[in-house]
Amino acid sequence: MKKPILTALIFAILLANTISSCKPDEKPVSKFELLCKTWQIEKLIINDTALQLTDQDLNYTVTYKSDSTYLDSDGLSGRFELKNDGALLIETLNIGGNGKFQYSVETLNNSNLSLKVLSDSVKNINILYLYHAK
Amino acid sequence: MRNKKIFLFLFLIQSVVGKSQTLVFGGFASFAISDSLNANSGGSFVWNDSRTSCIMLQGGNIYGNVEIYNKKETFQETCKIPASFSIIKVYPNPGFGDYWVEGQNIQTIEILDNLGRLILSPKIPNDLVKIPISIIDQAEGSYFVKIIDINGQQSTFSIIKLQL
Repeated sequence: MKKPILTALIFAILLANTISSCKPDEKPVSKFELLCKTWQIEKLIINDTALQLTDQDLNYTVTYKSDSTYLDSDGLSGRFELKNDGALLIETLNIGGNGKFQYSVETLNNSNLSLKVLSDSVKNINILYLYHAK
Repeated sequence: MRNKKIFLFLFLIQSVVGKSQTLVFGGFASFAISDSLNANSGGSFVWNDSRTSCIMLQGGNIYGNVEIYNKKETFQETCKIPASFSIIKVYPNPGFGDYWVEGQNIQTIEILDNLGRLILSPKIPNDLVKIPISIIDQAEGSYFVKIIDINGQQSTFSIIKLQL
């Protein structure tokens, strides 16, 4: 007699635990939404070696906005596109010459972003920019 | 009500000392911008224009070791910030070899490779605040741009040169 009661009790606890851990109202945050904030440079890694960034370098920030435009602390601005394959295309519009850059998004979460310069733009070196959310 | 005033006062101080581009309305604030530069806002607004490296002030005073000029009837004043307070920028970064150095009172620019060897020291035309530099003939990689202003203050930036 005791065994069915105990089983039912365990089942009830497990069920309650499962229900309470589900958050059906919570919408998953898209990569685009995660990207849309202000990022501050933290590290620059070239060929697996971190470059010693200066105080001036560390002041650099870039803000990606939800209207697919961006603005950085140097005053450069333009538009960006985050592709499904993880590529980030950036086009600077307020500077002459070639203002198009391609990166691959290596890490993107609430607090960290890392971008690798895509091989189209670099021949012999790997360049990785690491940012933290500001 | 009192709490609201204190909050506003703290907001004013934080906005200006934080060197942001925040526009500050109303209230009264007295603050130190640098060791030799002070300002107060007597009821109008103050903001820090990072593009021109100037503290813009309307309806208040800036005093200290600064030169005030362009005083207009609207009480809008532009201050000439000491060189040590000026903002220097090097962009675009990364780039394909052509960059701009932007800032005031720049005396010398040196571009060094990642081993610290001098590869370029462009001449700087008088009073130019936006100086073009080119390392287009150099290999891809990282370089340093060392900038010295007329007061001897040095800033160093890392730039990345990509191959076209």
